[in-house]
Amino acid sequence: MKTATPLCKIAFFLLLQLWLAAVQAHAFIDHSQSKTGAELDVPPKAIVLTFDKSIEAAFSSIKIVREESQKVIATGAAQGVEGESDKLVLPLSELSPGEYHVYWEILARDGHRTMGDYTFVVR
Amino acid sequence: MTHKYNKKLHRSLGPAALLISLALLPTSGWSHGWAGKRFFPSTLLTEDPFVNDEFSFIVGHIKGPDEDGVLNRTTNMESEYTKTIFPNFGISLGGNVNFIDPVNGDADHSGFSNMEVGAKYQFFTSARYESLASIGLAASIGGTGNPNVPEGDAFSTLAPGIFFGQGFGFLPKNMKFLRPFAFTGLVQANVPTTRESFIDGEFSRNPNTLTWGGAIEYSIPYLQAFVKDVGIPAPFNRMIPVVEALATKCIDRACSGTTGTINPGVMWVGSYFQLGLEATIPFNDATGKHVGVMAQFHILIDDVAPKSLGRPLFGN
Repeated sequence: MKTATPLCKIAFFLLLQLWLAAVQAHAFIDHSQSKTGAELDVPPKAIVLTFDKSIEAAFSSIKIVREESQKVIATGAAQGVEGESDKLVLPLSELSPGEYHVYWEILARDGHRTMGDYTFVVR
Repeated sequence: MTHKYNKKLHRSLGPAALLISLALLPTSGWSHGWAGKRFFPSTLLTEDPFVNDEFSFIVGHIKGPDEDGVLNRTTNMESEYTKTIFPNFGISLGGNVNFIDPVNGDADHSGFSNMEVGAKYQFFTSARYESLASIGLAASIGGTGNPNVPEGDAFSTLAPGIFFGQGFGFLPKNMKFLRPFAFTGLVQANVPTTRESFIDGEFSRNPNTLTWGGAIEYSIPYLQAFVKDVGIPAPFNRMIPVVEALATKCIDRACSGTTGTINPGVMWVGSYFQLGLEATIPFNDATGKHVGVMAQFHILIDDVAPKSLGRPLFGN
């Protein structure tokens, strides 16, 4: 039983940290309004990403690229949504039919960065 | 004597300084277990290819032969705590306890295996290619455990190894449903610090062994977030089915043969902790003939306490 006491102390300390810690973590994308891989009849008016945790919108970004030409679609900056700290929104002007690639990079409240990308098609 | 000591200390300062410098190289701010958008979960059977602040508890049960061929029902509980010292360098402390119930009716016995310590350096991470790699050294400290249970030897064992992970996000569009796959692997040598031991009135040789293995995993979160949202609901949308395999082969000292298991199962990854469940299937008779089970509870300390316990002691 030589190793039991040190391990128990470590386990207790960790559990204490769990209880005391502010519970924020990596933010991973929960869903996007224009779903990953979707084919849409109506072009979206905005890219709306919802994450599983609160994010720092001011330090997060969304970029949309037309796949065919690899041209970045000119938009404003991505914005947060008041009262919904898990959302990031990029307003869009009308998208013509084609395939689009969305790239996002966000900073979670805990300081961890996550990134991702997905495509959708406007028919 | 003093002169020799100073020379030794002086020689060790250079490599130490280099190691510290490498460990302090600025990272992109990405947390560990991540390479770009790929999250590598902590697997149950095989060592992770990354460094992270985490606590893992694994319990397993299997019926199989011990080193002397005696058939036992064995329940093993293992815990390990890993702490990052620098952003890409961490140390670990672990131990496990075995409860052994011989099938032939002999008395049950139990005890701790030798304490294990380790150090690992994550020397490569590529966000673009979803790759990472680490080197590490683990040590089982002889004499700290119960000699009547597995890995409770009086001698220590050093285990240098290399660990790597690769996501398949680079696959072309026509193979997009294979992109959620990832592979992790390891090769590790196990070197006893003494060539032979005197046990029960006779000498027995302690062989060097080689361990290798890996895991193939399919990430449902990756599928839904980056390939196609197929509408898989919670809790399945956070599951990562996995098949792990680990083998160990004796390479000298009148010892031969390979033992190992194949472990199919599934992991569920939450925001602060991870759960895992796998079957343990011996892949040859030398390992055993019965299927066992392993379960995991794993805390992602860098997510639970990012500003305190979950951050490196030095560096960002």
